[in-house]
Amino acid sequence: MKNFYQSYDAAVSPEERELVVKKALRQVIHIEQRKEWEQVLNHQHGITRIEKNQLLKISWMKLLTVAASFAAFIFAGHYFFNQQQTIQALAQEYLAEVPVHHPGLSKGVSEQDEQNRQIAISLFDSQKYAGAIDKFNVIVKLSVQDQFYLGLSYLYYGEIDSAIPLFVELDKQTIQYREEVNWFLSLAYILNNDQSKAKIQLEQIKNGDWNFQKSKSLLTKLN
Amino acid sequence: MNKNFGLSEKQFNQMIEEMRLDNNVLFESIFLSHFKDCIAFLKQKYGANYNDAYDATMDTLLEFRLRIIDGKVRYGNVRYLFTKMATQVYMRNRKNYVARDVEEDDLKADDVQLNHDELHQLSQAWQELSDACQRLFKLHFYGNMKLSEIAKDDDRTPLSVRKQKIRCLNKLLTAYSKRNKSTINEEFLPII
Repeated sequence: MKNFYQSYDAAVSPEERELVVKKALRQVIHIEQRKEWEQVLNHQHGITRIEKNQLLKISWMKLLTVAASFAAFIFAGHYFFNQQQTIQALAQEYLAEVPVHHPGLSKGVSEQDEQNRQIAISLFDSQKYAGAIDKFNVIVKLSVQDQFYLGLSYLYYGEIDSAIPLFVELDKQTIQYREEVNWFLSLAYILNNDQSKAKIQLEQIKNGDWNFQKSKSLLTKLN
Repeated sequence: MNKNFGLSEKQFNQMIEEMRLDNNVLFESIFLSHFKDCIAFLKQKYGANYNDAYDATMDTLLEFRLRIIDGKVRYGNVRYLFTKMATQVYMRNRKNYVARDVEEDDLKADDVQLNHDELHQLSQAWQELSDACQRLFKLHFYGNMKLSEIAKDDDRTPLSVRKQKIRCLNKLLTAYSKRNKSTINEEFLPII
């Protein structure tokens, strides 16, 4: 399988080059089509990428909190629910926009780790996140990069509860993925229905950082 | 449910004609309504989790649409074909993860696979194109319409559509090259 540039250069005739462009453009148009259909499915059929009951999953502690503030919820309930759905849909949309790809293999400590890492990266880049999670998890000594991509695999796979602690840990450990962690941790909090933490995390995204404008859009909806 | 989603052969062919002209209303009304059933099927029959079933159904929808347009799906038992393809896509998506027992002979991966950066850069180049260029490419590359058919539809000469296509291709590739450090060899750009 070749990438676009290699394929275009390797084509020997104008017809072949046009075919390369056609195949590449179909992938570009698919992104738009997918987004459009995701919105139609969400708005007209009530179907989202992450199952609604998972999106709205509330832990027992949260449930107690909700019960305690039930009266306030009655007044604000309808508005809150709509806002919640909207911001989670937006976060989901941002997450699904363009799949992240792994930059490639980095050095590890053992041959076995190298093999597992190589397979995990390949699975991640093919968007087979369940397999990638399995493979990252058998790496004995996880690098910072492994942890980041394991967190991303959990997030894309919808196991948000597993993604969050990894990103939080990375946030404490290193600044290597500061901008990425700020962004993906914000999305994870939103999808996990934790608005206060999402807000704090989004506020870490400064002007000039990756996805600053989008973080502003999310903050506006949260405020 | 009807094996062709309630469509007569005439309606099915009409739907294809509309899809080629980038009008997906009928296709969407039928297939998006089937989306939930397909997720349920994959969950029930193959024990798929919700997210995997959703992704497989969405991937199937995109591929199935192209196959209809490319003339690879014929009227007869469209519902069965869609469901079978969804199963194959689900298995393909999971092929390194679980054992397979479904043939995938007609599900070969696309031989041009854009990496993340290329997809991003080409998407940006695509956004730079005029509406007219985007429409032409959608009809020609995504809708598989011949240039002569587009010309007839737009009441233009085939030559003018062909020239437009070359201009649009040049714009696209130039915009892409600006964003991609490895510029495309100029001798490979289409000549007007």
